[in-house]
Amino acid sequence: MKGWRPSPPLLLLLPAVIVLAAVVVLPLLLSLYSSFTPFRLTKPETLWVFIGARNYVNILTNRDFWIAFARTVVLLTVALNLEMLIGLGLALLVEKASRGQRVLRTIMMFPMMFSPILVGFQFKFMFNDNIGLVNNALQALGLTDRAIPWLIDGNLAFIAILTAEIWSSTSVFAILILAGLLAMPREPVEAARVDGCTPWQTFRYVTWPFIMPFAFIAMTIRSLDVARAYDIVKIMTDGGPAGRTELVWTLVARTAYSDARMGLANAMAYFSILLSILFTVYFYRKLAAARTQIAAEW
Amino acid sequence: MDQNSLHRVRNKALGIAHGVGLFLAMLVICLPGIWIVLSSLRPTVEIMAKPPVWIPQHLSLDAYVAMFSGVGKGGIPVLDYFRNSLIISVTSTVIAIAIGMAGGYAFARYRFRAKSAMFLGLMLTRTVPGIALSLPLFFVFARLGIIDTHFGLILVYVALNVPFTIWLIDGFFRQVPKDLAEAAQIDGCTRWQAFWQVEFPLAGPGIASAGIFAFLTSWNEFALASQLTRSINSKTLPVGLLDYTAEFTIDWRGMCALAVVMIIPALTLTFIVQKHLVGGLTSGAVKG
Amino acid sequence: MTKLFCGLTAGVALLALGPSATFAADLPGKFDGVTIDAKLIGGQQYEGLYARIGEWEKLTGAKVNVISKKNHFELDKEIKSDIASGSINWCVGSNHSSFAPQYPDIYTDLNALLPKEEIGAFVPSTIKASTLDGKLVMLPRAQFDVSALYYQKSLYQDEAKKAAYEAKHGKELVPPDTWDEVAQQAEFFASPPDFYGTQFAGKEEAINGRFYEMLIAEGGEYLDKDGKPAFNSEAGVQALDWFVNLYKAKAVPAGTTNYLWDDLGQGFASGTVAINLDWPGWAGFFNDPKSSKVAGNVGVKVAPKGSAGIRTGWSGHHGFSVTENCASKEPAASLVWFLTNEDSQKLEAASGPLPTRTAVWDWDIQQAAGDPYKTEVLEAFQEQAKHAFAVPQTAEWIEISNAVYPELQAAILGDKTSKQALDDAAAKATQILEDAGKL
Repeated sequence: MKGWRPSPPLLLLLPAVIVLAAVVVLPLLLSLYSSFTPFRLTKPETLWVFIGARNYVNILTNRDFWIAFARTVVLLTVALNLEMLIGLGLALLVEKASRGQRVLRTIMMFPMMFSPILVGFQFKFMFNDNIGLVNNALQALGLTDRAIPWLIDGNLAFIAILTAEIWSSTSVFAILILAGLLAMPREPVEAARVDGCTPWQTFRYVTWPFIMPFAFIAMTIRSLDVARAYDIVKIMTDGGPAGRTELVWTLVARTAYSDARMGLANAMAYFSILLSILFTVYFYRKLAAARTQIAAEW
Repeated sequence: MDQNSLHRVRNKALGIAHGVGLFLAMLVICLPGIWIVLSSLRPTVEIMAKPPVWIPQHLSLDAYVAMFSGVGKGGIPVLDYFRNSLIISVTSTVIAIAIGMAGGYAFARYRFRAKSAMFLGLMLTRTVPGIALSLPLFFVFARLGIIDTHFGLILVYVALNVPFTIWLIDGFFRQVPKDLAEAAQIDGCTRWQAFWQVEFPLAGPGIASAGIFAFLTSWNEFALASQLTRSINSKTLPVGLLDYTAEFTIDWRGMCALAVVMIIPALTLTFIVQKHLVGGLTSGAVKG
Repeated sequence: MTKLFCGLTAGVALLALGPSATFAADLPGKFDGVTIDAKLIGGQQYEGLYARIGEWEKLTGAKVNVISKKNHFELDKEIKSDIASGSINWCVGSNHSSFAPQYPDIYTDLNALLPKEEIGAFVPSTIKASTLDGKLVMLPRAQFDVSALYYQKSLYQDEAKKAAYEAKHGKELVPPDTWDEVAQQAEFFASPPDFYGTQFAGKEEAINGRFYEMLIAEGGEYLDKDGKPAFNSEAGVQALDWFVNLYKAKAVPAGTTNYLWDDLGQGFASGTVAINLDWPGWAGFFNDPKSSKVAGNVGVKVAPKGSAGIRTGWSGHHGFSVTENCASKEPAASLVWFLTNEDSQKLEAASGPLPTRTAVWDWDIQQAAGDPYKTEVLEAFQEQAKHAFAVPQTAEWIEISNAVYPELQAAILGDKTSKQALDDAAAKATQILEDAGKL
């Protein structure tokens, strides 16, 4: 035997695998272990007590956790879909513009420059019921004479958080869908017009299928990155009041550091990771399907 | 009125509607940002006023002056933060792109076992939320003694950015026809030379778009940075924002001023590379 | 232990006298070549003091290496992470009386390192709040926090309002001295959505702290002498009802259950709130025309009494601690002393925060002579400091807070009755204490 030579792709992938193993997989194994212990930050010796699946049983039977979990799923679903719709609208508007593309695209990406904690503070002050910009504007315009408790009422708070989240993340969709629109061949659209299709029909049957993969790629990227919303929610409501806006992430963070119950928090975190994985895999599949379709048509 | 002029009127109306729509959309996007910029320039009494003061009455650069005027006079070590942010973001972006290029090339040009599982697996490492990662990472980093160093944070951000970088660059290499590189190889180039002379230049936009995404992620990341940094040795700008909060008070104006300092470089960079950005994303999506 | 005293020049004879062997005159001492690693609370308000570290270095010949500077909540996270990963390898750390009970074991007893008369120069109640199980774990800096009542003066000078109030309640309209009066006046002044009677912090430790002080003022106790949660008592229900009724009457902003200190301060400064129980840190902000609409119109008085005749006075203070792991405790204690000595406290107090040394209080009030607002503020807070009390010294305080506050919010928002909410909260708190092996 001549000795084994690693194949080129393996070599090329090696750096990525090493970095990810060191920074993600190894710590994750550590936290997986700790999720089977009653580990408390302030009592390091508890790391060596093994309690089996107690933490998991605790979580599975905890009603508050499941409510938070369900709310997170709803928030993600609504946010991602709305972001896609708005991103699509935005991309269409920008694409049609004949002048100032460069500036428009930069503005379109403007919210991506904002650190999520800043977005949190910003929207918290804007939605303040007493002196916030939103209520001030509504009252000045005579639309309401009440102070709307944006961050208090469960539904309104949900909307407020949704607004902040959508504002900060729609850019990702807009930019990707815009990329799709710009890459689209002109001929099919022209052909459709010649055939007498209405603009809506042209959009629905020609443009949309083409940009669908772009929308799904954005969905996939976003579902990978959703926990980013944690910083926003943490500052806007931190899950309150009375747990009305509690999400898995706020619950995990509070349990982990404030309560110092790391073991339990890590067990919860695994549920939230599972959630992101489900969302990601779902959209990734959709993406693959959409790609196949495009490949067949073009 | 004949058909033609009716058509023209309708077109014009549509054009105006589009203009108005575009303007409104841009306004909504910009408003919170403009509000932050204004907040950094106005005295707090105007920002949090009721009834609201819509038109700024007093504008001043006081918050910016204070920010640079040293400890004890309302200053924060903003230059240190800026330097750290810049070093960490740029270095991690460059490394992530290098690693991403290697990985992307492997996915685009080679066939190997469990390829798509591997691909998805790499992507999924990104689903782990920062909050779940922060403590175990702290444990490992504390053992290695790389808490509060540039190196530690760069390592983390490279890992954070590699999956997406691979994805984008993979798509881009797929789009560059294989024949080109093969032709170059027939002409006597090694595979290495063929890559740098033929494929790499064509992949420019893809790399630019991956780069800007990676840069923005590192530039704005907070959850992990707040856990892994401690002092001016490595604290980044987003972590520095919290310098404006005390136990019971917050200096919102100063915070906004720092935010503006943070946003300007990111905005400038985006403006410069945005052309490539859009082009770069295109191929990443369609060719999978 | 003996290693501790090696550096002392006082001689063998003094060793026999036991721990407090250092003389005040020896401070700050000489420690050439020693390096002290320190973790300090960061942020504008706290960092002015650190300019004095250079002076200490010059006087003692030692070096200070600041390895971390963060806001307090982040620092708390970091210290917990350090404990968890066994990396407490630094000497001096910022501490806070509300957080300190969570990690009683990592800090050393300063009684053994500093002379008695120096410790005696601090306000006794803060020293008591800094002492855990007889161990003085931190030395308070001039960042003492207790809340007093801020109000808009003009409201109490308005003849029409005075007449209307007297007609309605048969009492003269003067700044309130009991919490019942606050509630009454708050409802009287409120005219939502433009103007509110009062407001309160509505989440996290903040609402729990406010509830806690109200509970004490109503004659209740949070944990009984066996350490069992006892806040679901009659006094507890009364205390919580105060918040609930104001919320129901719309005398407070509807968003108040989501307010933290920043929202409250901005709210009062916007001129839309009549009466506001708040911290000393805002005093300057409220009276500065650049930041506040009510500048020139702010009155300050000691916090009102509850039905038990006790004034509310939930308090906390920042300080510095020396770790048990520290190899050079003597210089570390000297640094802690230096950062909390009279000159340091004067430096901090000059820009607003409240001192914790008796002598500096007097100095502070003298300095304010000729400034009626500042004098009013200081006098109110000095009086208030006498009624100050710290949170229960249990390591689980923060965790209990986190379990209790959603229940308090539920009651305020009307999801539960006060009794129900408190019973649920007490059950959760009991569970936490049981899990921690305290019950």
